[in-house]
Amino acid sequence: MSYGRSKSDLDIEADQVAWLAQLLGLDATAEEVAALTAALSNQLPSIEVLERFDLNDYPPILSMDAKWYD
Amino acid sequence: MTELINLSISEAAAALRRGDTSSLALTEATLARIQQTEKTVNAYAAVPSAQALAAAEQADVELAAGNDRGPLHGIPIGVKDICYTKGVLTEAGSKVMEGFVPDYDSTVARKLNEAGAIMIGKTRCHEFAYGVNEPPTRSPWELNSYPGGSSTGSGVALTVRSAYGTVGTDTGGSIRIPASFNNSVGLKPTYGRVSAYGVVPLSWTLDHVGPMTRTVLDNALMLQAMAGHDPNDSTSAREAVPDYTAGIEDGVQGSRIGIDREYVMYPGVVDDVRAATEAVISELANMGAEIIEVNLPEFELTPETLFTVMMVEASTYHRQMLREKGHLYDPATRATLQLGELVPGTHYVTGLRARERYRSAMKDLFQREQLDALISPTMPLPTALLTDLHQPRKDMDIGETPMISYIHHTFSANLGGQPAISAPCGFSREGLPIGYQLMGRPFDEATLFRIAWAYEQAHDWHERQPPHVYD
Repeated sequence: MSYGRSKSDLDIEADQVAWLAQLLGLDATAEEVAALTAALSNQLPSIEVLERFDLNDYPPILSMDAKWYD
Repeated sequence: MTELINLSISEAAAALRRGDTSSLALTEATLARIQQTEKTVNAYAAVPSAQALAAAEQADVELAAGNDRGPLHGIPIGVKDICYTKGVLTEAGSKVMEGFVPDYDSTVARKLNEAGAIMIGKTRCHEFAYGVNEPPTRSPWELNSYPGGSSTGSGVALTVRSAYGTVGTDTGGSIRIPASFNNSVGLKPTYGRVSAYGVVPLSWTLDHVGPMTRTVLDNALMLQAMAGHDPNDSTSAREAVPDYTAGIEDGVQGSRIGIDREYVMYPGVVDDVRAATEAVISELANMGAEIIEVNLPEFELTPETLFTVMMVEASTYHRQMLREKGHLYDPATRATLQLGELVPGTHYVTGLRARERYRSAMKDLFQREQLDALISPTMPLPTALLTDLHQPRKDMDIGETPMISYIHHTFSANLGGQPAISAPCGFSREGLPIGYQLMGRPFDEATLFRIAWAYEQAHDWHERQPPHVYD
């Protein structure tokens, strides 16, 4: 899996990921769970990079144009 | 044949109108070229030859009758395999869509068809344009190296002259990366400028459809045909489409071009790329452009923001298919889609807030400094060996794989929705193409074309080809 550049000491257990995957209905093999565990440990700390910037004055980009166009 | 396939779109269009050639001759030459090169580079997933030849004959009849649909009329164009093409195989590089033949055209395919272009084939791409698996296409510049993606075949077809122009899509760099690695011009237009209707989504809020060509002028000609509002696409922009070639020759005198050296010339940029980009900057300054040193700390947000947003959106689109046909996905794509489902919703929305902060800062920067464009390398390093793509870089210890380095300069334009163009600016000492990138104001593609055209006139980089694929 190539995505994710964050590195962290986040300690995620493979069992936790397997449980979560099962809960979501994902059909993940033991090998995939191991890879997912590593990838998730990398991905979740991304939030810290984002929150290093002050986001208080920035609402999420969620445009909703209520006008009806033809 | 060689003379015909080496023509640019604008040159071929002129030759057609002079009566020096025909659409049928251009199409036959392109099909012969495909036949000659495919065994080596594998740029096409499908080539509907009979349909292309019939369309070329029709184009010749129309042109002879004075029914001229514009500069793309009669020109063979390749279309990325994630764009629906009526009656032609569309598999998005995936076994999940094996054998699928759409019964309607994507808007981009329809508009090119209406402009008279000849759809010569479907160009290969990474599976669902995600960029994590390895497509079978090979780089004509170095067969064991990465040809770029996800619009892989669209880039390679331009290099080997098996299309005059191609359609690509770009969610995080997928037009500009293969353009840079294939010595071509690739434009990611403003978000919503070109309809995404009928294009298999990767990430709804980040996907862009755009032209890939051999020259800047050709790129403007293609965008002209592709752009415009589409009621079938809720994200399609209503902004009027200007004449993209009108001021293309006006030069760069007085243009204000910004550079954030701290971010764009970060330690991951290799010397050859750094030197080639600095040479572009010097030349543009000599031509009369004003170079403005800027600083945008929010650039640092872009990788994590884009990855978070893209992964969640992609996994949402594929959620059902992953459960029904999960075994048909390439393992790398499947794993990334699984990962996207595990990213919390709060992280996704935080990504959207970070995106707003980035966009707002970029807007303020352009307005404060009255910028026309920002300049950077397109890629920090030339293409790498396929075997090295996902390994830590060997040339420097910066904690990045080549694949991660490749998105350093491209993600920002997807997040902000701004237009960004990549064009050739030299070669590495190994003879691999180097591209530079210009990022502009929303809906101001014309300014990018004008600056890139001015630079292109002073060089023949874009005409150079790898010698070994011609045998």
